[in-house]
Amino acid sequence: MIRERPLSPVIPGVYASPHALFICGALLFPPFLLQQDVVVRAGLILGFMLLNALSGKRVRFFQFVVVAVGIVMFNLLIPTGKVLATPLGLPLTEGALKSGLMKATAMTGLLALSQFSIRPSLRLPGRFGGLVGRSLFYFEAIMNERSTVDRKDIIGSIDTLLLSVGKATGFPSTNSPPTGSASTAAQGKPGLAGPAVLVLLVAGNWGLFAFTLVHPHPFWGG
Amino acid sequence: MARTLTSSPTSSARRLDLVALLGAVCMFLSAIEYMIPKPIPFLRVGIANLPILISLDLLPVPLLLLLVVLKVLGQGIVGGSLFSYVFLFSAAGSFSSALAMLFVRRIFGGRITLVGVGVIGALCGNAAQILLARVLIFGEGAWLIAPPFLALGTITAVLLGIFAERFAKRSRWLAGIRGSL
Repeated sequence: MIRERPLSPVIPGVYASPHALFICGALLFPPFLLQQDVVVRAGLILGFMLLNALSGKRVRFFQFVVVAVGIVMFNLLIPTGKVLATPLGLPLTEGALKSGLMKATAMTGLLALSQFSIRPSLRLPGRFGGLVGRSLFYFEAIMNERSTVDRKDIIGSIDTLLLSVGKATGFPSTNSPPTGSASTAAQGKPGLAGPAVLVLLVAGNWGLFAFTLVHPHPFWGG
Repeated sequence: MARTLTSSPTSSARRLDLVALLGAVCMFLSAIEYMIPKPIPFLRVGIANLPILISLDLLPVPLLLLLVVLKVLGQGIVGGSLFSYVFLFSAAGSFSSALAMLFVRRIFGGRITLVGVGVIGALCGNAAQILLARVLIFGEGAWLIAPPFLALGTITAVLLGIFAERFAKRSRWLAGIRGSL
């Protein structure tokens, strides 16, 4: 019997396999990281966040902003390059600002991209992939029992949880681990729409990167 | 005295299954840790290191390192951070911490408590993360976050070590694992 592969939402009503999303993320990774224009990068980050929202993921916009501001502030502490202003007597330098913005956008952008392209239902191939799958299988079993963890008796309740997970899953097992789990992924309708959207995304990002190579820093950066 | 498991085809499969379960516990604890608010994503309390701390006396070195790989990879998949710097920070911190803990446990054995082992692991893990933060994110400004980061890491490592000591003594599950494998 052929097991139906679990699918993950890409945009509302359009699904793709976790493997396709993983490959898409791997292909989007280089053009984003190599992008030297801060404004283009910021636009891409908003795009990745929009994709996360469309695929049903919670977007922590405020957390991203706090992280980005924190990174820029730390980089501004070491002045380099032309002094742009001196707020509160401290020099705000162009080099430090650009460096901070590039690092902040790299940090937040890669996180947003990663959250879009890596789904918990992803299963890696091979024997090691089987071990990871087994571990995720146990993780789901633990998560199903997590409400039993009691703050008043953390050690005792975690111990009870592990014993009950062991009973529920037949641990320790010498059988082959499961290769996938349907509980963490949507059973969407397979089709070409999902892969087509992902191909368009990858092509668009590489196209934008090629454009900024030909027309370096059309906005600001580097 | 460190007690590791004997090797036979069945026990080998059981040990791998134990590594998978401990990896799942790491992921569960890291999911709990994820809920704790923090200013920077890679700044972590370190409770997900608890299974590694407990496994120091339970698993042989290759399986312990396999557990660290599972922990890092599992966190990357469940948290969706596999393609981000967060994954690099997690890998650098976890491996340097595990190697340091393994080293001191093997050298000092029972003469050092899990609290001491945990503190050394936390210091090494945090130091690796600060070095990475200097290169990837903060530049020279990274040295400014080093003192509070290391202080916080040490405090949480002490608490984690105390927790691990108590868990290792009280846990029926762990006693069962020790007895059955």
